[in-house]
Amino acid sequence: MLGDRAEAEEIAQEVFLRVHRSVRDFRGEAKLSTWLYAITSRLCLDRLHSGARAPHAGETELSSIADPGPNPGVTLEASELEAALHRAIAELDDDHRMVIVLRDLHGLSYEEIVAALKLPLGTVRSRLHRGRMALKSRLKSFLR
Amino acid sequence: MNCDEARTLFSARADDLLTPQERISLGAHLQDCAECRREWERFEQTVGLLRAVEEARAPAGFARRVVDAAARESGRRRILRRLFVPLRVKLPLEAAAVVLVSTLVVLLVRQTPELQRAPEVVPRPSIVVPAPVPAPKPAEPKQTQAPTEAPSREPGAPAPAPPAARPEPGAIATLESSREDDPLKKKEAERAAQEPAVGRADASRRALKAAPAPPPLESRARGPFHLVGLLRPIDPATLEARLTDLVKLVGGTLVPGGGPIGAGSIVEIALSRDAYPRLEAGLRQLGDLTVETQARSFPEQLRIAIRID
Repeated sequence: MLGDRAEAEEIAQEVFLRVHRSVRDFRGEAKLSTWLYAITSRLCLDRLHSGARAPHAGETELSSIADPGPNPGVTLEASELEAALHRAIAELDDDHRMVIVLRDLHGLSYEEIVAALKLPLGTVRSRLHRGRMALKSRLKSFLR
Repeated sequence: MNCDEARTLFSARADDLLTPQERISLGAHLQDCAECRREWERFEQTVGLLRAVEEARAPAGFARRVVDAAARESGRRRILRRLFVPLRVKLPLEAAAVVLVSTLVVLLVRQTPELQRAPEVVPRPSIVVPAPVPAPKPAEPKQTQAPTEAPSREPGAPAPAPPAARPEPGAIATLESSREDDPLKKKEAERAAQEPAVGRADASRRALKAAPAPPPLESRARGPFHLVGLLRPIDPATLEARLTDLVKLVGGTLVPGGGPIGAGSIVEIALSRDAYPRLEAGLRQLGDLTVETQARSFPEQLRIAIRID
């Protein structure tokens, strides 16, 4: 979501601290995971909008994610595709990226996304659709 | 269904959220439109790639760092909590403290007779306190009589309480007459008599200090009245003379009020506690006496105010 491993770790730590701080206020009205996603997404968006970030250190981090496989040719292709995918995700609008991450990377239902981001269902649907379409365009060269 | 309409349904199709009608319409369009079919395949691949991304794993030592940070924060919060107690705790605590203090005050007052009596003593009404008018002549004879009559009192009766310890023209006149041979003191007393009220108080004190046998200030009745009564005289015409005689008879002192005793006036009497029953009996002979307020217990020297109806 942030495109930077160090920042992500920092935010993840802050998420757990917030949970630790306010777990007594959690009334069980939503799933615990939804509550965690709500805190995480809010912190991520705050960080992205704060302007206090290191200038796109994320891309190098994302491109370095590779799973070494037995076949060097296949490994290279997969590595390139994965890097392209992460780059494309990183280049999405923050709002689109957030919905994509929650839905496709973490498998949240639409209702859970609505609860976590406190957005109308229609907004979630349209953001998801536009984000996926944007990704499709950016990954065109890798798609059959 | 045209191509644009069909492509807006891709996302819902990928999530299997199409209505039966949409599913049929989109399926029919994709069968007929090769371009949209290709677009759908790319779209489906894209979503597949996204869903195949492995979940990020926390780096080594992350859990330890979180636990350490939480422990540090808990320590800071404990300190802050001690400094700033939240309102939901603070308010009940403060309310309990108020109740506790109130209860203690009530108990203390109930168990301390001095405190219990204090509010019962009638505060001295401001109307009774006569402002020292420059040289009120009618007061002079009364004041000069008081010391001379003292020896004729009953042996057991204590000395009558002289008037309140405030500058009184009568007292000054007495002192003046007793110190006629001292021209310096005489001048001082004369000057004091001409001074305004506040200045005269100092002069009076100086004169009292210099007097050969001044009545002890402690013996004068002080503080608020121990009894306030209302007297409806039988014969208002003779009231002043009879009241003056009565007070003399019981060994008390009629504090000059600066005017004749009659309807609407307030008479201030200083006398000993033992003499009070005789005074009350005498007052009841003068008219209808109603005791309006009375201290629970009398001190040795009493101050009494009688309002004349």
